[in-house]
Amino acid sequence: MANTSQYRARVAGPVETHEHLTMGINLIADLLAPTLGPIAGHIASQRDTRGPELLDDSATAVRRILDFGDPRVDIGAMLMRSLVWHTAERVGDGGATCAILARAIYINALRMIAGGINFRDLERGVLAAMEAVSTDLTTGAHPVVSEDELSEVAFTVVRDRALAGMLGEMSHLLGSNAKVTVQKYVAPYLEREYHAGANFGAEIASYLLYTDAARKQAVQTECAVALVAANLAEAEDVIPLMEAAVAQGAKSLVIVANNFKDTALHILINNHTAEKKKLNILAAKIKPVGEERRYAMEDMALLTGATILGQGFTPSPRRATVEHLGRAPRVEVDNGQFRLLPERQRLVNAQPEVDMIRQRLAGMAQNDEGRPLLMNRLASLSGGMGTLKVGAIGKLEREVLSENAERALKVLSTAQLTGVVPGGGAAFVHARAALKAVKFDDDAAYGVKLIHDILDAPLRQILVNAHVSAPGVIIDRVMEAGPESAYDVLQDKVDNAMACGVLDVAGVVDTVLRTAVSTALMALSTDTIVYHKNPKQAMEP
Amino acid sequence: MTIILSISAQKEKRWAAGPYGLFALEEGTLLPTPQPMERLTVCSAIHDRQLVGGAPHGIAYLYTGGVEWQAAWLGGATEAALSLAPHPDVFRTAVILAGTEGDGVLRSTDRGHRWTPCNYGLRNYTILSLAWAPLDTAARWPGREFVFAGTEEGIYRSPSGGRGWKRSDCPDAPYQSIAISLRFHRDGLVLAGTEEQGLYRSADRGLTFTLVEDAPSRINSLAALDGGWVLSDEEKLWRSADGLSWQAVAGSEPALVLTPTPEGILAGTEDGVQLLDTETLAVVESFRLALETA
Repeated sequence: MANTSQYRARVAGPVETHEHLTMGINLIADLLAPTLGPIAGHIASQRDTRGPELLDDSATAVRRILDFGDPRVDIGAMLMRSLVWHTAERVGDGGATCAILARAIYINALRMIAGGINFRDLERGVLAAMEAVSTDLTTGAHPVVSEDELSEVAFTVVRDRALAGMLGEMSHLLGSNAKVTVQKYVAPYLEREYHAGANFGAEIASYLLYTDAARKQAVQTECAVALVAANLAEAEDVIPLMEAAVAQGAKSLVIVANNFKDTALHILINNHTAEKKKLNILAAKIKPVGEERRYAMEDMALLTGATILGQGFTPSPRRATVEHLGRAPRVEVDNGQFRLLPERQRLVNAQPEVDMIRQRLAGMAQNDEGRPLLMNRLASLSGGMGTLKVGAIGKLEREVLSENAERALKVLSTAQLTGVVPGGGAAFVHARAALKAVKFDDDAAYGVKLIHDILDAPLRQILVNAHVSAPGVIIDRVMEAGPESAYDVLQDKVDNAMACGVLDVAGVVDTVLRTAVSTALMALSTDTIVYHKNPKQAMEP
Repeated sequence: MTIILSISAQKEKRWAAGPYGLFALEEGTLLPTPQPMERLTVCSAIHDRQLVGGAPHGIAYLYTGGVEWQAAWLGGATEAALSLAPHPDVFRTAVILAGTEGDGVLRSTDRGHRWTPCNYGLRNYTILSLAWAPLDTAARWPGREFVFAGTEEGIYRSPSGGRGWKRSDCPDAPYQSIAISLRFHRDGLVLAGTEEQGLYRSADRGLTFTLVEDAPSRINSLAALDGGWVLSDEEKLWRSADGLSWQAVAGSEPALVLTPTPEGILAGTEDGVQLLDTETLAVVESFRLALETA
C-alpha cells in the first residue's frame, strides 16, 4: 500500500481494510482522548507562520486536519473526523466522548468477529442494547430549570465561571429555543442584553432620522406602521402614508421598505426635522433578502396589524389608507437592528404561528440549516432575543470564547428539552443496569455484552487524564454509589452529581452513543476500500 | 395630613415623598423641599444626588448642593415612575432601576442620568414595586444579581440585575410590595403583598409563591428585618419571624411604607413619618410637617 500513488485506483480487501480503518480510528481517538474531562490536556495545532494554536475542544481540533498524507490512515481518520464534527454541530458537545466510544465499539467488535461471532447477530445485539441504554438515559434525566443548574451545564462546555454564569442566566430567561447573537469585542469584556419585542435586521434610511444621533439610535413611540415591499422614490409613494398616519391619530409614522430614495426620502426627512411637525418619522430599510425578507415582512404585519403594500397583487402605497397601517407602542432602530414592541393582544394573536414554529423546531436537529430562520421568527413572535458580548485582546482567544459560547448555547438548548444526567461518563456506567433486561439466546447476546463492556470507556479516559492510579476502583465505587452519583475529579470524590454539579445533558449523551454506534457499525460492515491516486480534500467534514 | 408613600435614607440624609410633596427629615420635622413634579410618587437618594419620580417628567434628579432639578433622558418612556430602586452597591455600579406606570422597567447605569427600557419577559408594564436582593459576595456564578418586580398582574424575577425578567409562578394579582430576606442567598425567602388578595411567600429564591394563610389580607407595606419581617395592613403593624405566622403589634399605627435603616424603621403614614424601634416597633421619633409642629 505504500506505493498507492503509482496506481490510478487501488482496492484493499477485508483484512487490509480493517487494519487501515483501525489505524485511522486509533489516530483520531488517541488525539482527542486527552481533551476529555475537567483535568484535560490541550491539543497544540501547528500553524504555518504563527505559533501553535492551543485547542481544547474536539470539533475544532479535527477541523484543523484535512489529511494525514497517508491514505491508509486517512480513511479511518476522516470517518472519525466526520463523526466528531457532526456530533458537535448537532448537539454542541460530546465529540471526544463519541470518538472514544466509537473506537471502543469498533475494536471490541473486531475481536468478537475474529473469534467467530456473526456480524449481523452482533449488530442486532448492539442496536438492542443501545436502545435500552438510550431509554434509561432519557427517562432517568433530571429537568434543569434554574439559572444555576443551567450554568453548571454551561460550565462543562466553556470551563469559564463568569461566562458559564451568564450563559445559564440567558438560557433560563430566553428559554429552550433561545435566539442569542454573540458579538465579539477587541478588549476583555463580558456583558449581555435582552431585547423585548420583535427584532429584525434593518438600517435607518438616513442619519437625519436618528432621535439620538450620538448613539446612532432612533426611538419612536405610539407609532403607525407602514410595511412596503418595494422601493419608495416618489413623493406620491410616501404622502398617502403620512396622511393615513395623521388620520389614524398616531404620534409617529414608521415605514419599513426595501429602500428609500430621491424625493420620497427628502420629504420624510423634511417632515421629521420641521419645527412644527405633525408626525415624527422613522424610515427603515429592511436588510434580509429572499425568503427571510418575506417572513420578516409577514411577521411584522402579524405583530402590527399592517397590510403589506407594494407592487403586483398587493395594494400600492400610493393608495394607502388608514386601514393599511398597523400600530406599535414603540419602535427602535439601533446598530442595524429594528426592534418593534407589539401590543399585547397582537402577541396573543400570533400564538398559533408560534406554536407551529415550536412544533417544527422540536422535530429539527440542532444543525438543520432551516433552524436559524425559524429561531429568528420564534424570537420575534414570542417576545425577544438576547445579545451576548464577549471580548478578548487576542484574536484567537476571542474566536475561542465566541465559539465556546455558541456551542454551550446549543448544549443548553438540548439540556432544557431533555434534562441532565450524572456527568463525566457516570451516566453510561449507571445505564449498564438497563442491559440486564436485554436477553438473547444467540450471538446477539455478544452485542449486548459489547455495549456493557464499552460503557465505562469515557469515565475511564477521564480518570486516566486526571492521573488517577486505579481507574477500575473508582468506576466500581461510582457504580456502588447508585444511579445519581458521579466522580468529581476536581474534588477527588464520588458524590451526588446534582449536588457537586458534575452533569451531562441527556440529549447530548444519547446523541453521542447513537452516533458512536452508527459509525462503528458502518466501519465494521466495510469490507473493501478503493484508494484513488489523488483524492480530494474536504474542508467541511 | 401629610401622606408619605416613599422614604429614602442615605447615611445622614433622609427624604420622604408623597402626593403633598418632597420633605427632608430633620429633627422631628418634615421640611418641604422644592421639586419639579406635579404628581410626585417616589423619591430616592444616592451618594451624590437625589431622584424623584412622577408626572410630568417621569424621573428628575438634583445633584447634592445643586439648585436646579434636571429631567432624566428616559429613552422614549413617557409615563411616571412609581418606584425607584438603587443597586445594593450603587456607589460602585451606578445602577438604578425605575418601575413606571406603563413603560415597564427602566434601567440606568449612570446614577439616573440616562435610562433605557429593560422589559424583556414582562407581560405587564405597570410596575408597582421593585426590590433588590442583597449581594452574594461568595456567589458561585459571578454577575448574578437578583431583583424582583411586582406588577399589576404578577411577580417577575430577574437574575440579571434587571436586564431581563421571567414571571414567577404566582397567582394573578397586583403586587404592591415586595420584601427580600437579608439572608436571601441562604434561605431563599421572598414575601410579596397585595392590597386585596393577601400575602405570598417564596422559599425557593422567588421561583414560586404561595399564599400565606395566617397573614392579613390587605397589605400596605412590607419590610425584611434582621431575623424577621414586619408588615402593615390598614389598621396596625404585624411582625413575624418566618413570614408564615404573624402577630399583631399592640398599639401600633398603620404604615403606608416601611424602610429599615440602621437607626430603626422609618414608617411613612398618612400623617408624616415615624421612626420605629426595630425590636419593639415602638415609636421612637415622629416627623411632622414643620407648620403642624409649630
